Amino acid sequence: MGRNLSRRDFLRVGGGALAGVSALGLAGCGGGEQGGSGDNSLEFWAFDEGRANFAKAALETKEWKDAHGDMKVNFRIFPYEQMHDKLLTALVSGKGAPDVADVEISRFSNFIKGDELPFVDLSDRIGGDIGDVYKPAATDPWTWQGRIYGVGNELNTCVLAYRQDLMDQAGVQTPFENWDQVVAAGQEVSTGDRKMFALHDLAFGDYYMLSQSAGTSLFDDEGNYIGDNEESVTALQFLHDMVYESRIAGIAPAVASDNWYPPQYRAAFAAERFVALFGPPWHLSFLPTDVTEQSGKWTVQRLPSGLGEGLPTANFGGTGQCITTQSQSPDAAYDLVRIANLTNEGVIADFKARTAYPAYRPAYEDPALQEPNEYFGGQRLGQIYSELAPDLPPFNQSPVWGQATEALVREAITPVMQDKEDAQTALSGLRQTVEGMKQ
Amino acid sequence: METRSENVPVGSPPARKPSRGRGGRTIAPYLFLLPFFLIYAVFLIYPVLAAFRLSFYESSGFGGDTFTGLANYSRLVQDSRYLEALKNTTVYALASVFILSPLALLVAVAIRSFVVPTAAFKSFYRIVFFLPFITSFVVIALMFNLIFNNDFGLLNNALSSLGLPTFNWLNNERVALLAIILVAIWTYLGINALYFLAGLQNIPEDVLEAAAVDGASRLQAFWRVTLPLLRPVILFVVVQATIFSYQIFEIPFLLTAGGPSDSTLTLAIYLYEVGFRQFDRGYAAAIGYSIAIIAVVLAAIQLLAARRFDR
Amino acid sequence: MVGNKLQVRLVQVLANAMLLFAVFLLIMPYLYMISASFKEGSEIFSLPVKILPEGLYLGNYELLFGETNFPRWFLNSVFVSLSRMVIAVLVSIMAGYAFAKFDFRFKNLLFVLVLATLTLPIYVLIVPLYDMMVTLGWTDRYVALILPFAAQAIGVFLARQYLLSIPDEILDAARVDGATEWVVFWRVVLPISTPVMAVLGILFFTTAWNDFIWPLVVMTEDSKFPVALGLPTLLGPYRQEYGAVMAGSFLSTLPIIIVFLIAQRRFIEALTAGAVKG
Repeated sequence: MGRNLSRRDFLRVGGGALAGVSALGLAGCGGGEQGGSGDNSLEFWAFDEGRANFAKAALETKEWKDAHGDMKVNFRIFPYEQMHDKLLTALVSGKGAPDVADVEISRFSNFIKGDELPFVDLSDRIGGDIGDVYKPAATDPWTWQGRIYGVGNELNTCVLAYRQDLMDQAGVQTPFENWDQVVAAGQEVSTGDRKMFALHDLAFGDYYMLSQSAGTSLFDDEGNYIGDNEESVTALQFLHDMVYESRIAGIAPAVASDNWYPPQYRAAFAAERFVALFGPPWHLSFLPTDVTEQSGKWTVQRLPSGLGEGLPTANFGGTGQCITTQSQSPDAAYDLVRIANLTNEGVIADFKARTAYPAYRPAYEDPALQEPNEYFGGQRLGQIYSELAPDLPPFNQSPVWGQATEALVREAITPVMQDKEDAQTALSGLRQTVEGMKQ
Repeated sequence: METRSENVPVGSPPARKPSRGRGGRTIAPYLFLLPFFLIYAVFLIYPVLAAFRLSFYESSGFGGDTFTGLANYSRLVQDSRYLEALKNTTVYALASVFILSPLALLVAVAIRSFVVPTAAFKSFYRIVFFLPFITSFVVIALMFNLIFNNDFGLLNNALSSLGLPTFNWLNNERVALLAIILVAIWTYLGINALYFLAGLQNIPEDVLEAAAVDGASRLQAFWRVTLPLLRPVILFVVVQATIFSYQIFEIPFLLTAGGPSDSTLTLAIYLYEVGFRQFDRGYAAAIGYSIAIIAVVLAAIQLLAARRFDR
Repeated sequence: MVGNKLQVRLVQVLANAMLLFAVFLLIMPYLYMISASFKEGSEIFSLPVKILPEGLYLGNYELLFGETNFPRWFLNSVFVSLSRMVIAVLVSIMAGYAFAKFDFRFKNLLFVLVLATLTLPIYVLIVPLYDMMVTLGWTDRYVALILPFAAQAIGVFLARQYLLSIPDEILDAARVDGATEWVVFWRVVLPISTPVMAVLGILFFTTAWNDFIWPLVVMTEDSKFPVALGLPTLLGPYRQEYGAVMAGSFLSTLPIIIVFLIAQRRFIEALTAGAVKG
């Protein structure tokens, strides 16, 4: 670390030259402590108020108060993209990182490049609790080389959801057994300015979900690219055909800052331009909040079969809490993570606040999670999701996962979904790009 | 900043170029430069050198850096995404030099000239043309997402009512860069017009009138009197347009994030992606320095060309 | 000559028609922003777009002032932007003056160096600069937002180009009267430079006000945020207060407009003060 020392010395000289300037009183009041954590405080960085509240709720539990009642936890919320940039800057420079940070699934892969990981290995701390979680949602995405570096709370069991009232009007029989029935129904309900689905041409999620349902994924469990196998091609081709052959789908409204479900996308559902979707619970959560007038009209079911293996669900998305190696109080930080994610009290508080269906298995015995959901026509979503959870395909992390999904969008999803290239060519072409990425 | 005036030598009696002691006997110019270079030296020399050093290292993820010589730089020329970004950025730079800058000059001249007769109107135009520059990028992104919207957008509505073809502007590889250029012109027209207006302020009205009395038409007076007098400011606008074009980031980042399929990927967005998404910091530093080298070379060519022209 | 007058009128009408069309295009987003700040969340994105809000919904402003640190963000931005603007303008004019009106050793080299400082994208500098702020103990301090970017090469460049066209005779006249170089600068150069100072003031104030990535990296405490950093925190996957962001964006353009109006007055004064023209 000699290099670091000399660098610091250099800086100190520069600092001396500036002593006069800072004496001008520009320095503002207070603040200025380096790094997040002191002995008796924790810094927590998040990119969303809802997720910050989720962690805050853990501070209200008796367990936390008994163990760390005198500890102050500072929550900082930054915009999504930029929180990860700020975290990176602080981790690279070795100073100023928080104790705990929310790390989104596609951003985590970047942190496992290089020889050292900037996050604390939580495997031993989690210990036996691992038996109580659905691993593909709770820990897989933050796992690298068998060690766990973060815990997520959202159960990302993908399902199909549709407007039951419109299907009934059209005389369509539900629930759907297979995708052929879905396409047939789509042809019944689609009109000039209404389509069954809104499919993305700037995001990989639709393809990612359907390829999992078909029984494959982007990488195998050894990190090899398999995104051009037969099942993958079938999935992408099917998505293409829904837009250009059977014409039951339109292209989802998307903007650069949110290519998944920006306000424009939500408004299109509110305007009934689209009447069905498939996605994980966090995706569906926009319906009750932004499309309030369609309450009671929606139904949820497992993914239909008919594509490849036809698995009933897929695993998509998520955010985990990671403890940085800069933390001075990793024990307290882990207690916070554990109480929030791995106790009934923690996850049920989050369910009540955000309707986040937990990845923590025992919680599903709690009555709160078994209550009928009014928005989705009185269905017991907790039961549906927890029954699908054992079928969640595993998530195979890779240092190039984030990069590969970006290349996937650029080189395959966009050209195929814009009808410029066929699925087979695009996905095979991607192989070279992904294999050329630095591990 | 205090300059001890009693120590500064008084300028020598008027000559053609007064007071500049040969070989730097007078320290006055250095004292005037001091504040700028002091701030610069204290805050930026270290980061600039640190980044330069990093550009010769393999530094991805966490853990140590490895010296790799020029590997990062030689990787640039084989990287098809880098070359794509270079191409897009150059197209953008050409547009801002050859479309945006002349347009700004035109607006400035119009506002300054007889075309806008009253001071109140001049002020009105000045502030309206400047408004986009102060509008936050979040608002700009929202607004242009509406304007470029495929189904309901104002632009497509206007085009189709004129019988012209419509596009899904921000989603279509063929036109997305054009859309970005349009937004950039919209955003930066006002501030560039303002530079020209400051320069025009320097040209006395009577000079122009004298030209008119000489029998020159207004157009001739513009070519023969106004433009030559504006040369320093024109040079400034062109050079800064070139330099900043090679760093264009916000507008494409917020409107298309470089997509679809890299059709609006710029050098600065690629640098950001490599450095902050792929955590390949050594390569990112090399991209940064390649941007700087391109911009410095182009600016130097422009400055030299201008000097030759002046002679 | 009558034909000529008619021609002038015709050009005026045509040119103003075009300018007004441009005004329409330029002003629309601004009006949209104001209108949207009075709309409820779902109304902002409903299609087709309605120019006027259905009612005067004040919830966005209430949220901004009631639940966020907006007033504090606003004051932070005013303080930081004004401070940086004053330093940057002064430093720029001084250096630009040296380059325009003196001959000295290394002049060309130094000038190229100044220009070169413009060309490195900020993303290359962020990590080492952040390092430095931590070492200085300047994280979460306003000085970190003011000083590091107070040396703006573009200002030096513009000031130089502008002062190049000022006749030397004005300066020499002052020197003959026995004025020191500092007095010449203060009494002659600065007043002449009003138009360019106005432009630089507008430019620096605006860029400081809209600065985003640097404050993000160096500031952590919510109460120290500038507006440009505070507002986007209201937008996230689960919370999308676009209306409040619109309201905040609208309010935060007002100081820039005020600076602009003040600077513009200087513009016009410089224009009417014949003395300046030598």
